[in-house]
Amino acid sequence: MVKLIALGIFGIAALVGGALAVVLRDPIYAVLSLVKTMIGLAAVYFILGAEYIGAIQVIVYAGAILVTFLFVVMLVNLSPQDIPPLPRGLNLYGPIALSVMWMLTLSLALRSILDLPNPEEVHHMPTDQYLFGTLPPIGKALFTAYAFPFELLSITLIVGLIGASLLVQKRTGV
Amino acid sequence: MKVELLYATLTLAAGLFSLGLLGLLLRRNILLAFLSIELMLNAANLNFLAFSRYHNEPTGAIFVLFGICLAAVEAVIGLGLVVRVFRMHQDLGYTNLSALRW
Amino acid sequence: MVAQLLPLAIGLPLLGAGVLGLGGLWFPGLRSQRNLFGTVATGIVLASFAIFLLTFLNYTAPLQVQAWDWIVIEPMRLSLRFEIDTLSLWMALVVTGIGALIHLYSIGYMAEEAGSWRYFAFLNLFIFSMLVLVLADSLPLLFLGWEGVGACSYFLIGYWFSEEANARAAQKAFIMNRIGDLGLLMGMIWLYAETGTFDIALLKGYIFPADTATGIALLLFLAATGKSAQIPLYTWLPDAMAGPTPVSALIHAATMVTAGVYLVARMDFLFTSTPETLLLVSGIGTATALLAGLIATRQYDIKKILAYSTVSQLGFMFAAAGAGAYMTAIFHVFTHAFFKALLFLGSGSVIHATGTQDIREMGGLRRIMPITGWTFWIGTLAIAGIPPLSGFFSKDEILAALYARGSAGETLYFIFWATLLLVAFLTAFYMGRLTWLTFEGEYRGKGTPHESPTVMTLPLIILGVGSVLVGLLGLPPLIGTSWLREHWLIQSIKEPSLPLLSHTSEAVLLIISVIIATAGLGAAWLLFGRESLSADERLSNQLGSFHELLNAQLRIDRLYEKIFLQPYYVIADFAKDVWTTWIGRGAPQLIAMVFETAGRLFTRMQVGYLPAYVLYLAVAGLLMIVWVLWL
Repeated sequence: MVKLIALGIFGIAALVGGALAVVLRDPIYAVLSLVKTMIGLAAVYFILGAEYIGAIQVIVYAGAILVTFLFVVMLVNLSPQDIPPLPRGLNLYGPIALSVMWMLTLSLALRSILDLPNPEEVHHMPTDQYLFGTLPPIGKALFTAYAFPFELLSITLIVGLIGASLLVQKRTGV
Repeated sequence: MKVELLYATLTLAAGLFSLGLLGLLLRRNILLAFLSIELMLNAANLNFLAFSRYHNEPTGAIFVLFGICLAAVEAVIGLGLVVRVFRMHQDLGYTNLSALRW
Repeated sequence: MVAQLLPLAIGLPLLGAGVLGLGGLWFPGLRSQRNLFGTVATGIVLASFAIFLLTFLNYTAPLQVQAWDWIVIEPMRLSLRFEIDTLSLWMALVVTGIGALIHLYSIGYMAEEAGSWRYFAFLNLFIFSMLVLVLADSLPLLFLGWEGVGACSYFLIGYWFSEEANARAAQKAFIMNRIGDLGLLMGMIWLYAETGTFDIALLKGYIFPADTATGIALLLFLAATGKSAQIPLYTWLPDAMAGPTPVSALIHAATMVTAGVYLVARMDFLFTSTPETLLLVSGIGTATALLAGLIATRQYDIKKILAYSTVSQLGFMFAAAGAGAYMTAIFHVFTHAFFKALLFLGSGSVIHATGTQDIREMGGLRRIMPITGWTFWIGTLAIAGIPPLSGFFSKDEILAALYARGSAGETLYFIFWATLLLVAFLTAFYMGRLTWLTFEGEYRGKGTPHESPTVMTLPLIILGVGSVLVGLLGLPPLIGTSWLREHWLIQSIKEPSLPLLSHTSEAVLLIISVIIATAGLGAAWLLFGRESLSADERLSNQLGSFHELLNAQLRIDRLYEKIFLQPYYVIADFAKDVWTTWIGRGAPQLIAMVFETAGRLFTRMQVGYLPAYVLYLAVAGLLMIVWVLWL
C-alpha cells in the first residue's frame, strides 16, 4: 500500500513534468521539466525494485541526455520567440482527443484484457524478495545470455559517436 | 495489492506515452518534438520494467538498459541533425523540412 | 465374314477423305491427275456399297460394330458403336449406292476443275458423315454425323468460294442448320436427363410422360426441319444450288436432307407417343410441300426448280411421318433418292452442255443429248407420279396413309390429304413445264450443246432404270404386298396402327392419283408442250403480281432479314457500341481514373509536414490496437 501511494506521488510528478514539457513555450523550461519527469521515473523504478536501472536513469537520462539537449538549445540560441505558440481550435483539441484515446486504450483496455493473477500466486514468494533489478542478476545476464547484444550495443555507441561528430562538422563536404 | 502495482505502472506509462504523442502532434519545433519522443521512449521503458518485476525476471530490466543506451545514441545523432538543420536554415520549424516530399 | 468387313465399309470413306485430302494438299504435283482423285473416291464408295450390299444379302438379325469407348464419364458410358438394323442398313445402301453413282458422274462433271482433289475429299467425307449419322446407335454419335454432314455441306456448297454469293450460300446453309442442331442437342440432353441413357435401343423401352415426350419430340423436329429444309428453316436449300450440281444431287438425294426424315423414323417410339407433335409434323410437311410447289412453278433457274421440288417432296415425307407412316416416309426417301438424283444429274448434264441454268435459254435439248433427255423424262414421270414408275407408288402410299387417318375421324389429316393432292398436281405441272421448256421445242440458247461423256450418262441410265423399277419394292396392298414394308422395315420401325382402307377406297385413291398426275402433266403440255416459252410469258402476265411474288420466292428471305437479321444487327451494333465505348474504351479509362484519383488523394496526404505523418501513425496505430484487442 505504501508502495502504491509512493508510486502515485512520483508518477503524478513525472506526468506533470511531461505535461509541462509539452506545454511550456520556453525550450529551457521544457527540457528542465523533462528532467523532473526523468527523476520521477527513476523514483518509480526504485519503488518497483529496480535500483540499478533507477540509478542509470538518473545518470544517463537526466545527467547526460537531457543536458545534451540543454547544450543544443543554448547552442542554437533558441529563445521563446522562436517557438511557435500552441495551435488553437481543432488543431489543439483533435490531438488532445487522440492522445486521450490512446491513453484509455493502452491503460484500461490492456487492463481489462490481461486480467493477470497476483505475482505471489505465480512465483510462490513475497514480492519484497524480488532481486530482478539489482546488480547481480543483471550483471550475470548481461555477461552470459546477452553478451553478444551487449557487444553490439557498444559498437552502436561508437558508430553513433563518430556519426554525430561527422554531422556536426563545420565543413559541409558530405 | 501486488497486481495493482503493475496496473498502476501501466497506467502511468500509458499517460506518459500519450503526453509524448500529444507533444509530437502539437509542437512545431524539431527539438521539442524530439523531447516528446524521449518521453514516449521512457513510457515504453516503464512498461518493460513493470512486467520484469511482475515476472521477477531480469530480461525486462536488461531491455531497459539497452533502451537507455540506444536513447543516448539516438539523442546524439538526432541532436547532431538538429544542429545541422539549424545551420542550414537558421530555424527549427517544420516548414523548411519538406525535402522528402516529392 | 461379312460382319468383319463392316468396319471397313464405314471407315473406307473416311480413309478416302483423308488420303485424297492430304494427298492433294501435300503433293501438289498430283493435282493435275484429275481422274485419279475421282476414280479413287468412286472406288472407295463403291467398295463400301458392295460391303453393305453383301450385308444386306446375308442379313438375318441386327449387327453391332463396336469401335471403341468414346466418352467415359461414369456412370455415362458412350461407345463408338454402330447398329446395323434394317432401317439403318437400308439408308446406308441408299447413301453409298446413290453416292457412288454421283461420285462416278462427278468425274466427268469436274473434269475441267483444277481443285477437284478437294472436291472429292469432301465428297467422301460427306458419305462418311452420313453413314455415321444413319448407323449410329446412340444420339451423340448421330449428332456427330449430323454435324459432319452440316460441315461437309458447308464445304461443298461453298466449293467455288471465290465468289461471294457462293460463300454466303454456304454460310446460310450452315447457320440455318445450326439452328436445327441446337434443337437436336437440347432434345438429346433432355432425353438423357429424363432417362439417363443415350442408347436408342434402350430409349425404345422407356415410357415418357406426355409433356416430356412432346417437348423432346418438338426439339427433335426442329432439328429435322433444319436438316430437311422444312418451314421455317428451308430457305438454305434453294441457295445451296451455289455448289457444283453433283453436290446438289448428293445433298438432295442421298444425304443431308433425308437425315431429318431418318431422325423422325429412328425416334418413331418418341413421336408415336405424342399425337400433337405428329399433327404438327404433318401440318408443317403439308404447308412446306404446298409453298415450295407453288414457288417451283414460277422459277426459271433449272436447279432452283429442282431444289423447290425437293423441299416439296420432303414436305410429302414429313406429312407421311406425321401420319405415323414412318415406313412410307422412308419409302419415299428411297424412291425420291433415285429420281431426284437422276433429275439433278440430268440438269447438271444440261448445264454442262449449255453453260447456263436459265430454262428460257434452253429447249429442244432432247434431240441434241438424247440420253440425258430420255432419262430426264423418266425422272419427270417418276416424280409426277405416273404409274408404274417409282414415284407413283410412294406418293400414293403417303396419300393413302393421310386419307386413312382422315377417314378415321381426324379431319385435319383430311385437309392435309386434299392439300397434298393439289401439290401432287403442282408437282406434275412444274416438272412438265421444266421438261418441256428444256428438252422439247426449239433450242433458244447460244453455242452448240453436245451430249455428255459416258462417265456422266452411265449414272443417268442406271438411275433411270432404278427410278422405273424401285417402286415395285413397295406395291400397294391392292396389287400385291409391299416387300419393303412388310418384310424389311417392319423389323426396326413400329408404326402406330393405321385404320385399314377398304379395297374400293384404295382403288379410288389410286385412280385419283393417276388422274391428278396426268392432269398436271396434261396442263403443262397444253401450255408448254404446244406453245413453249410464249405460253409461259402469257401465264406470267396473267398472274401479274402473284407471279412476281412467286418468282421472288415469296420474299421469305427478305422477311427473315426483317424479322431476325435486322434486330440481330441492331443488337450486334449495340453490343459493339457497348464494347467499344463502355468496355473497350471506358473500362481502361475508369481504371485509370480510379488510380489517378487515388493517387491525387494520396499525394495530398503527403504534405511534408511532420505532425501530419505522426497523426497518420497515431490513428493507424490506435485502429490496429483496437482491432487486435476487440475484434
